[in-house]
Amino acid sequence: MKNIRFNNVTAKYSNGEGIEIANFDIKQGEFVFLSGPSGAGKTTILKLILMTLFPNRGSVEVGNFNSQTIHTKEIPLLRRQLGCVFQDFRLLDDRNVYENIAFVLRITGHREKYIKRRTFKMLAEVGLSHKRNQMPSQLSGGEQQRIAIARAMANDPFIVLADEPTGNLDPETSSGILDLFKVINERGTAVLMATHNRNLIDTFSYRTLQLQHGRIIG
Amino acid sequence: MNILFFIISEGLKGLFRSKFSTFLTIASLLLTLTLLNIYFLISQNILQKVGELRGRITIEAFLEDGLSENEITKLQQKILQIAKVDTAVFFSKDAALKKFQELFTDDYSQMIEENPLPASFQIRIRLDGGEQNTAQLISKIEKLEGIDEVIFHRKLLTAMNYYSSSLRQKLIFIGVGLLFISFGMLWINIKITLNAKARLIETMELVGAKRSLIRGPFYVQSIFEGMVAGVGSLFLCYLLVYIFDLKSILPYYELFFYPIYAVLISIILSFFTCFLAIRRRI
Ligand SMILES: Nc1ncnc2c1ncn2[C@@H]1O[C@H](COP(=O)(O)OP(=O)(O)OP(=O)(O)O)[C@@H](O)[C@H]1O
Ligand SMILES: [Mg+2]
Repeated sequence: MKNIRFNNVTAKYSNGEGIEIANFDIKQGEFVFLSGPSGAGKTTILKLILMTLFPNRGSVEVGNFNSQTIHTKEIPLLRRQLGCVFQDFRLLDDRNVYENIAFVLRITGHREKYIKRRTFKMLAEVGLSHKRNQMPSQLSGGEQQRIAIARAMANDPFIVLADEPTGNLDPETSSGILDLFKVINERGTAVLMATHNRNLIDTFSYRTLQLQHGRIIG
Repeated sequence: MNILFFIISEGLKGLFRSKFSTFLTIASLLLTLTLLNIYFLISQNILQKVGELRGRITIEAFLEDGLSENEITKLQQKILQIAKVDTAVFFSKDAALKKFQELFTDDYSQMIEENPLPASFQIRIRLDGGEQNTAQLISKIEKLEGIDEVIFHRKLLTAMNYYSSSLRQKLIFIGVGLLFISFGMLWINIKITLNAKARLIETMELVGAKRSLIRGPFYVQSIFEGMVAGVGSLFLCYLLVYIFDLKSILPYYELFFYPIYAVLISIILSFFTCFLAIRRRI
């Protein structure tokens, strides 16, 4: 069982902003929304899970890793067990769509044969096989986000972290993206999605962590 | 194995993915390396020339009159046995007179009955031992039986030594300066490249790429850039030598074009700069 657990986590930036005494679990296969107004600390929570940021007090457990004991060299290994999707897509803009997905498989040292099979499978799942030779800049926002999701899923993570994945997309495209996350979750992958879109949270009625001023209030 | 292959192929692809930065790096390397090559060529020629001039300084050892041929040969052997003596050419009384007559067109032989010019040895020594050794060597020759007097242009040699060593220092100084300039240009280039790729690098880290895997392709790329620039600068130098017919001005031409070293220096410079810049960043 791979879970995420925040134990009394306080994490502050140098200016005093951040997260205060956060306690919560995300169990395997769960879908959790992280909601709250701008500046509440949603992205900060995701950074703590990705370990680009470390708590000042308390600890963050991600799968087998613990923020207090993890070695710098292990951080890439941790991240390979996570998938991440961002509001601004963050595709590697110097290579085509196929290479973007293949990248995360290459860095784990898979064989070319497997990489090809897996990349084509991921492309098919987000319905963009025909765009595999395009550069990211030649895709629409929605298409870029689909590729980002395909990349996040390529290494078969136990959880996908999504930071406002629909923030830059129109409502119609957004609902398509959300359907993708729903399918991913139904196959057993946990999803943690940060959003301040109330509509979304209401339509899906998943568990929601409500943040305000760096505290979890519900 | 897969990872190594990945790093190398990423590095090679990187050359084409960021064409402008590749171009900039190669161009600046090419420029400074060509300068460095030309500089090397010129400085080696100068040093060689100076060495040659120094080599021309000879010692004249005048002989006492009335030595037999046998005694002269023995004396010559003794001189040649002294350490650092390269050659000792016998210059007879007649030869001296002949030379004298060449210099002064008037025919003195009619005025003087006997040839007053002494026979001599024109001695060449290796000048690598410093002045003190040279002085010792001369006194050794002077003490030999049958030698009347030794003439040696000490001041000329001193000046020559001083000149060539200060010249050498200046040339080294310029060379190091050139190296620094090319290092600086490469440094700025790689900084610009890394800045432009900052977001890309960050994304790679977020999706779980190890640092070594992000750095690796940059190293591979820098090695290839160094190689291309190194070979290119050699071609450019050969071309310059050909166009401006530098062969006639710089006679020590074949000697001082070490193609392998030139390419190696280019690769090392490129890699080393890249290495330092990236270590500070990623
Ligand atoms: N690198 C940083 N340095 C200093 N303060 C920061 C930094 N990043 C975020 N903050 C501050 O921490 C607080 C929480 O930021 P965070 O990015 O987690 O908010 P958020 O909930 O994701 O907001 P949004 O919905 O606008 O993305 C904010 O007050 C923000 O100003
Ligand atoms: Mg945010």
